[in-house]
Amino acid sequence: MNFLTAWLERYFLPIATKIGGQKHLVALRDAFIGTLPATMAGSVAVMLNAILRDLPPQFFDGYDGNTIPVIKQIITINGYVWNGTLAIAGLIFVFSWGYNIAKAYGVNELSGGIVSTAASIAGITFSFSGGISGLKLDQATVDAINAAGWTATSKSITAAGWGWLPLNNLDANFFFTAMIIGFVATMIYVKLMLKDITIKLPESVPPAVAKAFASIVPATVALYVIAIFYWIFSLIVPDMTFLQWLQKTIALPLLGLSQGFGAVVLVTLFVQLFWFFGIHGPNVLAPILEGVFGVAQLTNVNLFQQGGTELVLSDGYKWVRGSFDAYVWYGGSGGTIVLILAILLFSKRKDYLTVGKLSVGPGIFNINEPIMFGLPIVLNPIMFFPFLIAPVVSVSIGYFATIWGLVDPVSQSVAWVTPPFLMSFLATGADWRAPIVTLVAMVVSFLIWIPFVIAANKMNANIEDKAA
Amino acid sequence: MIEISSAVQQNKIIELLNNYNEEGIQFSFKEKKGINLYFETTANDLEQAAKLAKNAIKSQPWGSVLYLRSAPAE
Repeated sequence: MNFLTAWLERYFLPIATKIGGQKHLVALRDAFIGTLPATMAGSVAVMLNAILRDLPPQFFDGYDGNTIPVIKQIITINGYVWNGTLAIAGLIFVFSWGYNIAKAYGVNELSGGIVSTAASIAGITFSFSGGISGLKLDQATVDAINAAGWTATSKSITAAGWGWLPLNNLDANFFFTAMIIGFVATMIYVKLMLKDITIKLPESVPPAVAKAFASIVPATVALYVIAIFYWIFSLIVPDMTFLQWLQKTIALPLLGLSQGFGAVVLVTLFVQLFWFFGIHGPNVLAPILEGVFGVAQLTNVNLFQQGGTELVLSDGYKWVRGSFDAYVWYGGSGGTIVLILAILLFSKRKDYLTVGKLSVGPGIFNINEPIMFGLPIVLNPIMFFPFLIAPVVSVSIGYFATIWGLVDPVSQSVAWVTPPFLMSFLATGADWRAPIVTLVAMVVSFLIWIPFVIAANKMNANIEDKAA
Repeated sequence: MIEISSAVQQNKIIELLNNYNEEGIQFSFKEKKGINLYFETTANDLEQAAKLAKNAIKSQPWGSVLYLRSAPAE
């Protein structure tokens, strides 16, 4: 074992440390975490509306929450919360992103957030247009529409306007633009700040004013560089904004790749491997877990708010960040709640039973440090195989149940400490089949763990009668 | 006494905590049992000492990615 840890420390840990400690990736992780107050508040609003507005019609004919006093008002209030959170989740993220990059470099964080936001927003279309054709309009109607500022003929109407920021440019669709443009703009700002290319004011000027002035030149240069880029881009690709182009060429293909079974299994395996070797897996893999699967989840939550489960099923993603929590990491990473159960039922080792009993309470809320370190699972050769394989089997069950339509995709953000069955029930917008899928995954995992718990009995000479 | 459970970087953890001295709180390494490291501490509040030790480790460039537990030793 000493050889293994020495090998890990020499070859494996430096790589994990580089990834996990890379300041831009840490800033990206912190940027996602920083949006939590807004995304969780928005998720609560969506979930409440799901319970009050979307679910009851499935059970009660003629139910319409929008016509019932008090319920109607609560739905409206939840709508306001959604407007300010998930509807503009990308906008909130882009500020958090710039703020955290600037913080990582030790320069004015507020200006970093502002530069990132301004640069990313600059490339969004402010106009809209749409039309209807195949009409038969009389001349008086055509004249009235043209007089109102739209364009009409006897057969068609074209409506166009300027001064609107489309919501679908500010929600989850905004993340990839924000990640690229926000990063480049903030880095230009940061580098100029570090080179001290700033306006300097006398010491008598209040610090807040001096800091803001110091940011003027770096921020202006950063925004002009990005604006020139947008202009050149518009000459090369005249019929698309950069956001639209990025969505089409990078974001959607990347999100599509994340939906493949291989990608889902690979992420699960790597998280388990990291945990087993005493490294915080989700922290190291946060750019993928949050940057790809997390963005897919936000898309689903917004689709649910706009059109319920039907819209999630037709336009949403099947496997998102919360799917791991719902079907794989019950009781904590590795699905350790079933290991605790296996220990309580089959272990004859006094030490295992003691740790198992102590781990039940935290395990119900997906906290598994007591069993991970108490047993331990970390670096315990006999636990290596089931700790890797049980989650892969669980993820397969959850994945194919979702892909085959046996259960609705995860469409709600639920706090990770939510107990297992309730977690999958709430995460899928109250699909009663989800806890059953979780149960099936748990039973199969339980069967995988049993032989290893029994084998561990034989590894300890100090076997005691469980009943004693 | 506090207990730090970490599978890797144990030598660095021992070195870090042996040299820790902030607000009058110090740690001294006592023994190692598997992945568990035991430290005596001058702190009266062991819960607080365990938190300080974990924060100190996590703030290191090599410590931020570690999955570890820090708790008062029983």
